[in-house]
Amino acid sequence: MAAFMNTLVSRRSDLLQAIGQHLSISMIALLIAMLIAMPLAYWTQSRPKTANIILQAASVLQTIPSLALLGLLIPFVGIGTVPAVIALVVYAVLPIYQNTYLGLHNIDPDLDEAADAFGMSRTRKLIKVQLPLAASTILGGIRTALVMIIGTATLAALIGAGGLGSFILLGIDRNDTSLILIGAISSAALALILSGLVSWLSHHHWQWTASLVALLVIGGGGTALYGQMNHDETITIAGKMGSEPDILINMYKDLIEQDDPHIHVQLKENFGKTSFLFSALKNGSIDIYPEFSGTVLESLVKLPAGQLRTHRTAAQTSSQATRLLQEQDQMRLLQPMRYDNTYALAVTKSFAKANHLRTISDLARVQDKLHGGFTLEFIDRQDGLKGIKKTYGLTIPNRSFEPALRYTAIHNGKVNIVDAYSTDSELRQYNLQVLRDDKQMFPSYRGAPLMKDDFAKKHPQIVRSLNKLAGHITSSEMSEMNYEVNVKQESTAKVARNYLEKHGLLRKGAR
Amino acid sequence: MTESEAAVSFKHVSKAFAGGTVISDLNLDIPAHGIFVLVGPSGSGKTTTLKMINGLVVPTGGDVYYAGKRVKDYDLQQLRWRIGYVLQTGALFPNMTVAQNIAVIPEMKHVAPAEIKRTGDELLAAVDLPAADYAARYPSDLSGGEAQRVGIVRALAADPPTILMDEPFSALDPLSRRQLQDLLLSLQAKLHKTIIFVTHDMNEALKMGDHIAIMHEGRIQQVGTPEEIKQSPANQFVADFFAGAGKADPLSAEFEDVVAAGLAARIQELPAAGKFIAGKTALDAGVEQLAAAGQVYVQCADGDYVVTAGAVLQYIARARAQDDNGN
Repeated sequence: MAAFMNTLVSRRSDLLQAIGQHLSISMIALLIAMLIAMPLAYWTQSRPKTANIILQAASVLQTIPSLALLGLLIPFVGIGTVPAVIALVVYAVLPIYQNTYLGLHNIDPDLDEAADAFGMSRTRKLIKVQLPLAASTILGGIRTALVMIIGTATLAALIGAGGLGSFILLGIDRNDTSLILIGAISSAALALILSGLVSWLSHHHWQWTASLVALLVIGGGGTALYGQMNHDETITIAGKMGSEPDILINMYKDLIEQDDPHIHVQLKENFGKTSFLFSALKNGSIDIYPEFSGTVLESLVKLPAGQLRTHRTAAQTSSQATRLLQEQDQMRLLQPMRYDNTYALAVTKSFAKANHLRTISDLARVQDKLHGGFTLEFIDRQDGLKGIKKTYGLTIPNRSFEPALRYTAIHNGKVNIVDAYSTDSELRQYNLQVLRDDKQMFPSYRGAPLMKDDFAKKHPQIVRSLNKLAGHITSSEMSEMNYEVNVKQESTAKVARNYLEKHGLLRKGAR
Repeated sequence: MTESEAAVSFKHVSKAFAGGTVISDLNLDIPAHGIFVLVGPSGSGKTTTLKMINGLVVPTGGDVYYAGKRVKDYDLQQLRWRIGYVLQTGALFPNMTVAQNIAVIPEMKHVAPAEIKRTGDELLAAVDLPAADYAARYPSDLSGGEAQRVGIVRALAADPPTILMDEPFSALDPLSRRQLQDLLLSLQAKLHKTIIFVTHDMNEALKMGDHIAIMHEGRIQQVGTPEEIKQSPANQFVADFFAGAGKADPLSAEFEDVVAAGLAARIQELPAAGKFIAGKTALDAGVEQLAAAGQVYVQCADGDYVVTAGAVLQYIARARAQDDNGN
């Protein structure tokens, strides 16, 4: 509970922003759905066959899983707010249409006839008779749609539209229950409050509803417009899931905005997985994201035939990734930072000291004392445990663990050597020593900003700003920063700024 | 009757729906300033005929004239503002108060709000619904009879020269029905509107109509005053309809009638307890007391009588026997 409260307090402003995003996406979607469904229902009043077709079609759309729908929309409208709103509209149309149709349809035909016989115009009849009589049914539909929209809108975070879902995704990624709870509870509370509001409205004048919705829309639109007007250019930088990309993109933002105050950098944290970010960059939804050289070779470019298993040094990996991206995708991978986010073998500091261990080769001396705790993936990979045996001639008796559990195992002394990613915050948390890969067996994963070639040509100043990071940040510095975010719950923006200021890359108190 | 005198004329009017022909070659002149009743069994086309006057139903052939001009040549809205309309169920808008319901048409005609309120209050008073008590009520708080009174007021509120009434009283209980019939007759005595009144009840037609048109299977069987039709039915259908429907509702008789039929005993000494009712009370209004007590005490002009439930039953049986003899 204390952890929950701490997270809540430290992420207060993030939460408010997420609620704002969540509300504006939901409200825009609701409004568009209403604008589509209600006139359609009115128009199909006297056309029961058309109405039936529409109902069937809307029901079919409703059955498409929301995740699939979001995915299907990406090729057509890209990512971000637009596809999120479209998907939400698709779901909201059915209940609103259905209830509006039924509400109008169920009006006593005598009342309908009376209105005609009294010489009411169509508009007057609609406003004076039909809408007031159907109002409670219509509002019921709007309420259903609203609750559904707010729940489904949490998925919008998956395609970079932000909202409360980003808390949930971040929480899952960092295994932080507090974050998941904050996202889930806020979303549920939002649904309850708004649904209560609509139900309150249905007992009052229906004109209130109209004015309230108008107010929300004007408010949301105004805020967005104000944000647009205040900056000359907005560029979007996204990052993969996790604290590390998040810290990096905050550094990018600080560096770019320091050098050119006319540029406003918009960050999309925890934007998705590799292929998703890469296609977002390709179709222009985002401008920059940090990528790793090893990942580029592994999954983004086609390697020349016969080079698939070739062993490369870190420098070779980086230069080949840069070259192939340029050739195949007209993209530019800037100069890499210093650290290598790759596999590592780690032992406790005390064990390393007692046995004078500094490199993996040193392990040969203590081979009979080793008890390994490795992930299944590491055990299975050619560039993992199998590579260790082949390159270093080491056989390490081992057991397999879930990724998080192997750290606990070495902490409790059940094992004395584990595999790790070289920048994991747990290395710092559990006081572990990484052994140097002196034969460069592990593949290299060096991080650098990735952007389109066009973008780089158009923004030479941004390229210069970002290249300031080249050769900076060691694995242990990165691991320390991850530790500050994941364990000490510091904000990524603050951790990023502290690093830049400490290393003279950012003027103190620049912003 | 010349054409200029007729408020509404039908000339060779026919109407076919998807299901078949409802009206064929209808020719009818409806005189101004009186109650004209269209009567006939269900499916006879009387409501369709009525709705062609205000354009709710458009004829398939022929023309309907309102005040000498074809209905289809009118601006429909303008025409409808000149023709009041009362539906069977009252059809008050449930989202509006009594006052708002009454104001519906005057508002569209841009009558000043103060004027609308004045007229509305007057009319409500005329139908025994004091505005102070009723104006702010919603239709859900009214009885059927009260709702239909408001329905009549709503039709009268914009002071249209013509009012169409589609079985306005058939959904009411017999007592309210009679009260409203009487109320409409007394209003009409003051207002002299052209009222076109649809009913399936011959008794109501005879009571309400200055003129009656009897319809059957989409055709007019006979038009005339109640007397004319009573005296000389034009054909067998009219005669049968008259005889069948002409059966008086025995419950509409009064307790006085039971006394006059010699079925009640006179009492000399007033009982210590018990309920007295007036001789002019309708039988159906006293049914509940009869059922509860087995008898009621009736005050007639010539003295007090005790009327038992058995006596009332005997009276009804006799009335029915007379009807069956074609009387």
